[in-house]
Amino acid sequence: MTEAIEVKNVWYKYPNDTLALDGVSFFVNKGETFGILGPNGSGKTTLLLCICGVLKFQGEIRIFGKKVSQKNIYELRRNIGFVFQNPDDQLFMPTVYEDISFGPRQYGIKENEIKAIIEDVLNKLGIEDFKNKSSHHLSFGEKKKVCIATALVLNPDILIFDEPTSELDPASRRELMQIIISLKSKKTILISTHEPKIAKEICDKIIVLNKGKVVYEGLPHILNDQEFLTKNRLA
Amino acid sequence: MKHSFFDKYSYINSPVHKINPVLKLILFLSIGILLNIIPFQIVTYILIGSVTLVITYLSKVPLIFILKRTLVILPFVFVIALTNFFSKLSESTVLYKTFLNAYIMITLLILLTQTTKFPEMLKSLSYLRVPKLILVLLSFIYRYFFILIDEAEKMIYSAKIRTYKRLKIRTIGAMIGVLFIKTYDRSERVYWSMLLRGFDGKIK
Repeated sequence: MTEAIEVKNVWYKYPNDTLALDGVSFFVNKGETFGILGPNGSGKTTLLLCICGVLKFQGEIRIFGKKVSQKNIYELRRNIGFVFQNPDDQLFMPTVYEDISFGPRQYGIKENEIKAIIEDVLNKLGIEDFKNKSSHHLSFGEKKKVCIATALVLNPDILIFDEPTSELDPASRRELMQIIISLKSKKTILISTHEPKIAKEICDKIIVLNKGKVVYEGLPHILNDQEFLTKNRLA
Repeated sequence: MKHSFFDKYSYINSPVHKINPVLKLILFLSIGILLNIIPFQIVTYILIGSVTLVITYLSKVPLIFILKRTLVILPFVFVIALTNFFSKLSESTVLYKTFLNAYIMITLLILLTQTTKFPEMLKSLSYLRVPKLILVLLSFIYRYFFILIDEAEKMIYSAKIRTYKRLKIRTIGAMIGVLFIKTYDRSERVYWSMLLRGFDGKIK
């Protein structure tokens, strides 16, 4: 099986010298849905940002065999769609259309192509009506869907979701989970969460982080072990 | 929370709202240039004032709303008019002209923003070849102003819940400081989001 993401002995320190990632290693196969679990402050988001080359880390990360470095990061990122935990961090343009078109424009896609791609993505997510709306007029769940659209618009092979269901009401959460499940067969998905239920529902493989260290790597069945969950502050 | 500070009435339906935004913008700029070129005549101002009133009536934007907004800016207009007057003491009309020009332009600007949706305004500015960097900065201000207000409101509520007294200046100062830090943090995350969507230092 081809490895989509390979993380080898990655270290990251915050500017105040706090160790956020302590020799993290794992790999994600192509087409896999991979969960990164851990309590708040365990280093999940930091790890995701390192994978995308946003944060400068020590160690080695490979995306489809190519080592992440400042030289090739622009091209590598084209193949990664990232959905932030807080949609207000991700949606910065005045309308939904402008926001979704930001990525394709940056990669030099022609306007008429962008229009067609956006129509398609909006239809798939059932949010055609949002096109000309301003992001601040949308609900939290609606904003999340727009964030997914901004990630899907470049048709990346890898999708990264940072705490996708946090702060969502049950209906929006269900909708979002269905969207992720519908993408499972087509993409390599990386999900960070502190909810074992989500990981059990959709992940093929997981790692559990605690204080920046991988304390478990393998199948999600471990999440049925109450003692393990309590020990790692997941329950 | 949902706000509409910039363009509260831009979503209503009126004949003025239906006018092409580019045309509105060109008219606005033309009036500005015209007011500065023509010599001071009270008849001109009565005429432009009357037209402004008619446009306001047709736009369905409440007159009292526009007057209230202009009142906020009035002291600044007055200071500018006075500065202009003192720099050219020989001409007393300078004071009136500067004051009236600025007041009319502010009124028209409020009317323009209240009858045009902000994204449409940006498109019009883009059509008029305003540099992309300025447009992106404007769109960022529009997008994040609401979030900043939300954050500030939440902090004020949180402080008020914990005290029955009026907030002290020191507390307000500390809150402003925290708001700055939060804004900085958010700007970093927004920048990451831009990087992750292909931003390489240039807006394309």
